[in-house]
Amino acid sequence: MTRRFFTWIVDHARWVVGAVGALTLALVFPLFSLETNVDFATYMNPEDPAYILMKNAEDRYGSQSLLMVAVIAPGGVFQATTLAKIEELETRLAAIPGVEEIQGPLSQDVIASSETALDVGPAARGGRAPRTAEEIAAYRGRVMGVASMRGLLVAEDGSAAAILVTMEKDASEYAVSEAVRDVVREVGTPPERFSISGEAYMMLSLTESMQSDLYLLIPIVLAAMCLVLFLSSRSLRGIFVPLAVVALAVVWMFGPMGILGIKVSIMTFVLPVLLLAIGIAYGLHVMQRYAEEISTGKPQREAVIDAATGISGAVVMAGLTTVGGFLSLLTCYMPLFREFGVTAAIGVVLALVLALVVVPALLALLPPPKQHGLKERAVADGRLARTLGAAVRGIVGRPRPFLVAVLALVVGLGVAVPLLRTDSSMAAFLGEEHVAIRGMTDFDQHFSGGEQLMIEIDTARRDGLKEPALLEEMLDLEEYLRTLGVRKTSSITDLVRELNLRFHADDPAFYAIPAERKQVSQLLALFAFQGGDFGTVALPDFSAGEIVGFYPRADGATKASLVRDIRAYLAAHFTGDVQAEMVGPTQFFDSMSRQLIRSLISNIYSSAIIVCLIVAAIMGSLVAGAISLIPLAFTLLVVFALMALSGVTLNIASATIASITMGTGIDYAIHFLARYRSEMRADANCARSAEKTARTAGRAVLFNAAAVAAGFLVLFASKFMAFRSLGGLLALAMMASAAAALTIIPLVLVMRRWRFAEAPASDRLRSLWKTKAKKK
Amino acid sequence: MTKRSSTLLLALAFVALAATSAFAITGDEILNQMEDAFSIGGADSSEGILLSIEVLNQYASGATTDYRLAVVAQTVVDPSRPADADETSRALMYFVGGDDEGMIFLVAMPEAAGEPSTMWLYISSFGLTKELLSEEDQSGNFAGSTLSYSDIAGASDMREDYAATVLREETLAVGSEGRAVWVLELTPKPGVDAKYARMLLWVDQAESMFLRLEGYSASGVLTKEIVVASLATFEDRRVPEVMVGRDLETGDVSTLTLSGMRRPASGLSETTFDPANLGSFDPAAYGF
Repeated sequence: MTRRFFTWIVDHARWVVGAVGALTLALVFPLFSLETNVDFATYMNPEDPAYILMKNAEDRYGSQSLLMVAVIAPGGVFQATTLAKIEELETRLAAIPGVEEIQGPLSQDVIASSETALDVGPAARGGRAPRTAEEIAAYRGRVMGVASMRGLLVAEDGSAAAILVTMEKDASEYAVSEAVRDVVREVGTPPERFSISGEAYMMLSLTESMQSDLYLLIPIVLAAMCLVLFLSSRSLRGIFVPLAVVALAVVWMFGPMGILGIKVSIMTFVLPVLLLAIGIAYGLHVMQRYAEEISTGKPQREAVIDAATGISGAVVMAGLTTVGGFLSLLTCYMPLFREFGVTAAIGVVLALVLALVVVPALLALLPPPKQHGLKERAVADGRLARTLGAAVRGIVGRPRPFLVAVLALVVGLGVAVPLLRTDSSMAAFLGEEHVAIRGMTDFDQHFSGGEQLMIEIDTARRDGLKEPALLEEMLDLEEYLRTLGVRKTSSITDLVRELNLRFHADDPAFYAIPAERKQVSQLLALFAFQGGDFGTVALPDFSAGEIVGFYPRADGATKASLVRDIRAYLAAHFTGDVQAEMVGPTQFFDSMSRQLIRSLISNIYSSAIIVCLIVAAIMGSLVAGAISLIPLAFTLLVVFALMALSGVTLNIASATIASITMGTGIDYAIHFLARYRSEMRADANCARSAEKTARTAGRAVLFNAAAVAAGFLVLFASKFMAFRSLGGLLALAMMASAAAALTIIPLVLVMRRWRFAEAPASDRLRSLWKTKAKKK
Repeated sequence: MTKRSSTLLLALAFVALAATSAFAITGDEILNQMEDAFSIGGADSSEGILLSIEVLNQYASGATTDYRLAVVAQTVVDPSRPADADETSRALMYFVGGDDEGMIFLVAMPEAAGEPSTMWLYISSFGLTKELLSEEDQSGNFAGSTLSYSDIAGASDMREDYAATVLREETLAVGSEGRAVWVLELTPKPGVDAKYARMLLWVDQAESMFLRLEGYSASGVLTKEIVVASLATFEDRRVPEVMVGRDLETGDVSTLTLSGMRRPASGLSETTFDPANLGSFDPAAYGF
């Protein structure tokens, strides 16, 4: 059947290549319509309570996506030239289509008061920058006297100013962010320093980084693979054919996504690089087998058919385990990983199928190669082979010390693993030096902080927020938040106190919540009738509102602690009819961090089970499947322990490490086990078979691992810190799993005579099928 | 035009007193007539007007708010000024019911160009009166409604910001009656940062008041709709009774209802509009 299939391919090689080429051409065009989805909120499970809380809050209070522009002036912002730039920024930013409103240090409305009057108007007269020293001094006094502006629009020490841009509901965040950046670039000349922050800008930045990553990483990985292929084949066709196959797989994978409108996520965008690193082996195997066949003097047609038929089983097995590894991500809680897993699995299947269809067809069309095949005997007698053989001989000769060493290492690494921290934040993903994160750092340094937490206070009845007792409770909560490191809070309590103060001629005694509900209500009515917008601090009917807290960027553990403490406080202090709940991004990202752990753990189990079952099916033995998992388990232990000890956090990218390691690293164990069984059939001695396996298969395993690791290492050039870490960790995982396969597996194999090693899998499967047939 | 003067116009928008004869007319002339219609002239308006306004805001989130206002309005000539001097229109808005009972906004708007308007606020729960000084423009919304001050103020703002052309004449159904209207298309004047990229305005030919307004964004999307849903009769004139504003971007709807429009039983005294007397204002004395 298999042979008939490859015979047909070879006999219709032109048609096959033509059809594949035509289909590829058709799928190239949709690539240009591919869109990206970098909204982290969509990566979460939509049924997750944290996600639902955040979405409900957005529905009630509107988009809380702000763009923030910081102006940092060496001599402080209260200088005529700096203020003039701020004025230009405010004017031009407000004119950008899609911008609903801006809050800036010049145009922000403030309330001034006297014994007889309230003066509501822009902080700077007419919203224009003051020019003279006297005007600037008066303006400074006015601005710094408003508590709600300090730390939000002007740094407490006057060193920086911020302009907050609110977008219209249906505005394109991407387009507005781009326009804001253009304005900032044009206005933002030295000596001041300008930076942009905010979720929308983060998305623009992410999208652009993804694009530039692809432009950079794909050529690098292609170059790396060319080098690997050259070293392996020493021929042009040896480079071109396997590369073409993987390139086709990438087009076939992403083309339909463009047609179906499936957006490229922050994980799937890196798949071309991963696929090139992983999938190159399939075509390479066919090429190498063909080289062996043709070197025996067979006619080209026969050599191609024999090579494809002979290697197809091994290639399919290698592909299946990788597919299994990726599909294990389907058990993950977060849709991001499920989508990544399915897309990656489809990519691997495509690479696999194309390798088995296109490579034989191309080989049939190309002239026969010159002979470059390496004799196996020479390989087995090389220095590396001898070293590997000696190492395994040492291990199987005195297994106990090695076993003790391995167990000690396992215990040591196991102790470190619980120190592994999770961090689903943008900073963990992008890295501190990324331009978007630098913008957040500016807000940390000069303002109240780039992180926001939101707590919704819901009384479920109209005007419930006007109760002075509740407002006092909210003040207590805000005070508590400050003890947790929240630098600034904003809520209806600020508004009520500010109005009360101003209505009483700035008498500090009145910067307090009025004693009567009617007084609160009338102050708020004054604000509403003046056209004041309550924003997120209160719904229009005052049944509910948000307390917004600003704090500097924090890692996952700090956020988790913050969320835990706040929730405990809310549970203890807000009982009865009033519901108080965290609803904003802090609780969302905390939940995402916990889901990362949940996804990782479920993924370790599911990928282990799937890979074990696939190996069991291939080897015809569950024991073999279990043994093949040992080096992988050891590898993951090494990887997670190193992450924990080096401070590399578990993030959205590194959460996939188990599935990729399992799916790819398993090949080395399979390779070793298959060769060991073959050696055992020839020489029923465990130790000698293990040593010979190391001398023959060991070299191939190491080269294979090095090639894949080289592909993963390309991710070091990524603009995303998470992918740089992932690349390094995967490369480490490949080498560790190869090393473990070459050392731990021999140790296990010689501990007893395993039945699966005594008979070939095909025989066992055949006998199994025959038994079933008889029973029927 | 400031927000405080617009607040007065809100009270007076329902009592347009000038009539317009229907003849060939340009869009800008119609806008001029609309603004004139807001001016209170003659002996009738000096008598003053009493009316009640209800504002009902229904938000897309399901939340609702409402305000009830008792309004006393009057246009006077300052006795200290020459006989031909411009008038000053003033209005007192008293909050009725709920926690806001007793709050008062007092607005005085001189007709003369360049004369500043003044606005006073009395907060009954504190027993304090303050003058409100403001640089605010009219972009804010009135009483948390979907209607901005400029939407309500109508023609004056439109005349400053937009150029108008008459598209057609037609009959517009308002409640159960058909009204002859001009349909105007308004586009922003060069250099003006107008609220809408395009407006359509249905202007009643007899009363020079708009009966329907549609505001469009730069992309041609209808974003705001204000409709006079029913008319009432006041001293032989048809005046708006119910005005509905819809913000089609947010889904919020506001309804302004006018009721009980009448003349005061006796002339309004100067003390009624004296900021120092706001604390002693008794709505019952005016039949509210």
